[in-house]
Amino acid sequence: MREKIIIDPITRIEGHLKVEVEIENKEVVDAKCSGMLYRGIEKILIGRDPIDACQITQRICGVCPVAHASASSIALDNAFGIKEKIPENAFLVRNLIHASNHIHNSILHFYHLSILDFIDVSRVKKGISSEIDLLCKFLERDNYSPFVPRDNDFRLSQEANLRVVQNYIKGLEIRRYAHQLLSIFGGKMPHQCGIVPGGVTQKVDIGKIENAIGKLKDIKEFVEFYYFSDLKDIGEKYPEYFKIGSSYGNYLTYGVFPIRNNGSIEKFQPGGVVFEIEKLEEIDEKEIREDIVNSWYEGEIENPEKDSPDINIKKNGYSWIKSPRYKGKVVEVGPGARLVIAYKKNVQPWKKEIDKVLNEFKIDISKLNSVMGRHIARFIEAKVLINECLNWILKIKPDQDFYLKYEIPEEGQGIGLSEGARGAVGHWISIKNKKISHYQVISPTTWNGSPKDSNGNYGPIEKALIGTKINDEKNPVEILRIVRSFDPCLACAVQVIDSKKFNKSNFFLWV
Amino acid sequence: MESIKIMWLQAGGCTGCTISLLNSSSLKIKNLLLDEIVPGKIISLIFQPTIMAGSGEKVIEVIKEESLKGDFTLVVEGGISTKDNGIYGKIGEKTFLEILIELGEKASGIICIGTCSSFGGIPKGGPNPTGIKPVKEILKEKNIKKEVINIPGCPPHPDWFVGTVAKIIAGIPLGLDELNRPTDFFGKLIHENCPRRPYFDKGKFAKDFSEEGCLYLLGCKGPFTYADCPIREWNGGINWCIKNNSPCFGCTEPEFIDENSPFFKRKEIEKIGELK
Repeated sequence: MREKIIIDPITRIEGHLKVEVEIENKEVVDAKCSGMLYRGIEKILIGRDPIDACQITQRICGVCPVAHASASSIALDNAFGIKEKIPENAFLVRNLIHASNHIHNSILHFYHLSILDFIDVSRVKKGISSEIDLLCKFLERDNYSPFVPRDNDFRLSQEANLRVVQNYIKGLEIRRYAHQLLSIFGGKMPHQCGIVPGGVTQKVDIGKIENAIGKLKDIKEFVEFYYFSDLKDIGEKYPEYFKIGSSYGNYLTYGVFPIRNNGSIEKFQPGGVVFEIEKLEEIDEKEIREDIVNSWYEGEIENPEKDSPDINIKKNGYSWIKSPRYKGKVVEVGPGARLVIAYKKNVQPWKKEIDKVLNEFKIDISKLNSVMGRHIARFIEAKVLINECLNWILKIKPDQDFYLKYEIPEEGQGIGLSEGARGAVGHWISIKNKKISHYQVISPTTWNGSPKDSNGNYGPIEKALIGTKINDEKNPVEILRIVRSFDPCLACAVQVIDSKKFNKSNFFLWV
Repeated sequence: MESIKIMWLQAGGCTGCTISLLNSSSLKIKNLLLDEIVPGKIISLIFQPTIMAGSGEKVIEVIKEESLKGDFTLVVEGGISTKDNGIYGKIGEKTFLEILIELGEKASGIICIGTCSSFGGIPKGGPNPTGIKPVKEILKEKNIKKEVINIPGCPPHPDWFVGTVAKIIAGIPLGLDELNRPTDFFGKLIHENCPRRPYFDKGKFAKDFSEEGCLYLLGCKGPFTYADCPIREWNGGINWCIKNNSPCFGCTEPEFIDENSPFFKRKEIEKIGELK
């Protein structure tokens, strides 16, 4: 007998996501992933001053605004024809701003969006640490919100649970340090104001450098010791999550963190495409098309360079998300994609660090294509980026330029390809009469959370859900853990609904 | 122990307001979640989608129960779409608009966090594709007479929210300006407290980011914007926009974004805000 579970939306993600799965003999046989929010930011950009795009597109996402500032500034640098002349200091400072956002995201995602699926905050005892004592006092209340209601399947030992709960609370502080680190260079966070076309607004002096190194050391200590040990504890008790939640094994990354090396620009994390974990290719952005056959837009296929489809709430459509495809293939984006491609390309220090961690977990690179694999990938990224930030900081030359003057051309076109913590971000801009005439954004969750395309291929999250065994249909933690492992970025969330009870009375509150 | 119960509706926004609140450092977020916010009083986040543990029916039951009691504060983050009956944003098959009305009627008070819910913000930018309206305006149209406190900002500083809630809990009267913003935080123009004010007074203006000076010609909206950023600073006193040599975009004002853009072009000084 087929049974339908609708999850609309899911908590502890960013944005409005609805997931609908069909279950037969305790196994997911069909899945639909729907984005439930449309704001039309691309339409709002038309006719505006091009340099405003850098600020406005950041507001697409308050968790990963820097990815959009980065893609937008690169698109504008390209459109203005100044990309090659951007001062080296600007590359370094932009990278520091951007990397701090990724570091923040790894901690946020693991400790605050995911870990409550694995730890029991009520199983603690006094006298371990000030954090736990604070929690014990909280547990004397008659209301445990926001830690109730909750799902179950908590497997950690008493000691491990205590350690990880303690780090959940500690992590709240450490994540904040990553935003402070960013703010040293970017002014404020969320929605930094440091990155502009031509470079960055603020010169970096020795005081800022010192301050940033201090913050990095605090974060490094937490990440290298606690984050890693918590990941190990959870990995040990949830071994099947190295196997479940796999998508196609096709990966795409544009590459990120450009640095100037003897005149040419290289990326610290390289771009590329991998099919079925094996076949590596260089990326050609001209091969990207957006399939919109199941999305609420007019038409079937869109070229981000020139098309900007209007809304059409089609009957067969089920999402505001479009379905970007590369050479017609479904690809997963995100930390897993970035690591697999750096690994296949033998790029250091990535290869060395990935090998080390894979060895600790006794898994091979193909296992990054799983729930635990994605969590491990985020940890590796945070660790490597913290160390690279320390290198970048020391390369800054405070007495040299951080910004390049330019003129906005009458006409121009630019592509900005970058990465958010959650994966590939692309911005396509056209300028006419010094104003924006076209703007398209393809963000990470557009790739990962995409609906079925015209060939009937499921999007990556949908694919990862299909085939999953559900232990308890009333408490489908497997689905939540899989969806959350992608760190979907749409923006908010609530309820899992059993289809049999899917009627108006359930929505009493909203009716 | 007295608690203030909060239900936090995320509508058409970017989650930036929630993330900003997590950056709270005057009162750390762990204390905000686990501890007393003022002696003997606590905040109870009954529903906050980004950080809460649960999902599913269990959550619905709690919201159902609590909303019936009516003893809760509704916090709204993000814009509310009204075009085509608000179909552009939904949670559980209900539009944000329907949810706002339903919860707004039952709530004991409403706090709009961020410029989107307070004034419309980014998604209301022309051509306002989804018909975003400020929460206050929607409630007025629906004849729901509830006090609304606006805490704008893109995002708002965590202290602005925490301070306002602390004051409410402590029972200290809250002064609001004509835009329903707490005067404690929005009582003075950026321009009044700006450390670069001497440059403005002397007429020393930067013409691009490599020059030293007042940022007015680079589009700074400090003379038109009420907020205490120059004193409070951001991310635990680390930095803020103008200190980072970036113009203020006036993100706490209803003029954000249409009347305050182009962001990097000067706005006529005749429109300068009045000293309060």
